[in-house]
Order: sequence, then C-alpha cells, then structure tokens
Amino acid sequence: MMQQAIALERTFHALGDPTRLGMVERLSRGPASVTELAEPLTMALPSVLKHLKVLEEGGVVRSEKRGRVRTYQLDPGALAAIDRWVAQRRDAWNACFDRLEQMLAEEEDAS
Amino acid sequence: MSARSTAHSTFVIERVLAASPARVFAAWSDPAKKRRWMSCHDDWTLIEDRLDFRIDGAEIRDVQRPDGVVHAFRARYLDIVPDVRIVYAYEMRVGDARISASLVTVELVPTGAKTTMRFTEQVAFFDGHGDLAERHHGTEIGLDQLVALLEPR
Repeated sequence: MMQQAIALERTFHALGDPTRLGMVERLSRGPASVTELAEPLTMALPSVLKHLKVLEEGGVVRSEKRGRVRTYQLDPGALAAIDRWVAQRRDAWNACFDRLEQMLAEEEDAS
Repeated sequence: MSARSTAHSTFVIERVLAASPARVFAAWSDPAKKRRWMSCHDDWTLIEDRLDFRIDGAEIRDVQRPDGVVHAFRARYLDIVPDVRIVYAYEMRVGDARISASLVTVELVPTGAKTTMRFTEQVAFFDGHGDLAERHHGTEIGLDQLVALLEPR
C-alpha cells in the first residue's frame, strides 16, 4: 500500500501544476506530439519536455516514438485511484442499504 | 504523505424499498433503527455512536478496526423534510488522516406501495488518502473521471 501511496503522490504532484494540467487537458482530446503540446505555451522546449517527464513519471501520460516524432497520450490507468475510492464507497453504502432492506422486511414481518 | 490534493466526484445510488416513505425515513431518523443497518464489519468495535437527528444536529460514529485504527464519521444535518428529504454533510477520518468531506442528499419518492430512495453523495477526497479506507476492489476507469478531475475547482 505504501508503494501505491507514493505512486499516487506522484500522480497528484504531476496534476498539481497549471501548465501540466493544460497539457493533460489537451491530451484528453487525443494524442499529440511534443511540438503540438509546446505550441500554445510560451516556454522553451526543454521546459516543456521537463513537464512531460513529470507527467510520465506520475503515470498520467505515456509516450511513444515513431520515427523522429515522440507522441504523448493519456494513460487512463493513472486516474483509477479516484474511481477506486468512489467504487469502494458506493460498495460500502450498497452493503448498508442491503441491510436496510432486510431490516424493513423484518419490521414488516413483525407488524 | 506531504502532497496536498483534492479530487471530486459525485455518485448516485437508487433503491426501490418495499416500505412507505415514513418507514424508510424512520430508518434514517431513529438512532436504534439506524444503528441496525449502518453497523457493518462484525469484527469492528463500535466506540461511539450518537445521532442528534434535527437540522443543525450532529452525528458521531467511531469504529475501531481489529488492528486498532479508528474510522471516524462526523456529520451535521443541514436539511430535514420528514418522509421526503434528508441532507447532511459528513467527513471521514482514518487514524489521523482526513480522507474526505461529502454532501449527501437522500430523497424519498413514493412509488406505488414502495419508496424510491435516491442517495446522492458529492465527495471531495483529500491528499490521495482514499486508499486508507480501501476495503473492496474498484472498477475499471473511464476517461470521464479525468474530465471530472479537470473541472474548474
């Protein structure tokens, strides 16, 4: 679980920056090359690459090199954490509501 | 863990219950009844359980896991319309970690002789601590979670 916590911290760190969040937003519309990702930004290419490296280390994006072009895309697995938490909580409530249903049925029998 | 972060989500659970809205409402408002269906995990110890069911009233429920870690639930009732609606805010803590803060709306709609109970939880998970409360395996992720994550906060 500790390793998972560290991985999560890295993911949250990766997403906790407006520039990187902008890149993620762009990538949510589809894969893009470094050039395409750098285009709307007013920063030097090495800075862009640095941000992309943080996103990649955080498991938010993955990249692939085809010929001379490196293409980035979202890694859907990175965001599983919140989905998992919601699923857990939903499961816990559903278990409670199963017992509620049972209790109501028992009350009915008793009356 | 030092990273500060917040992740938002909303989920809805709808159940059709074989009872009148009044009986379903009583299951939420009567402390003895509520304890019967809220208590889970037979091997967990109930340390404290208080329900002051009125607008501005508080609810406290502390349960201890077999390993000694305490799960603390703290709620405050914001709106109560008998047999119709219950709205409350709650937070979850596991040990020293604050896991989440939520707004819950329970709506009761008569459906023939039954009641449709619509439970909506709007939740903010803090600092990636959600996994501390993990008890079940999750599901596959969809990109809509990403969209939720990207929404202006």
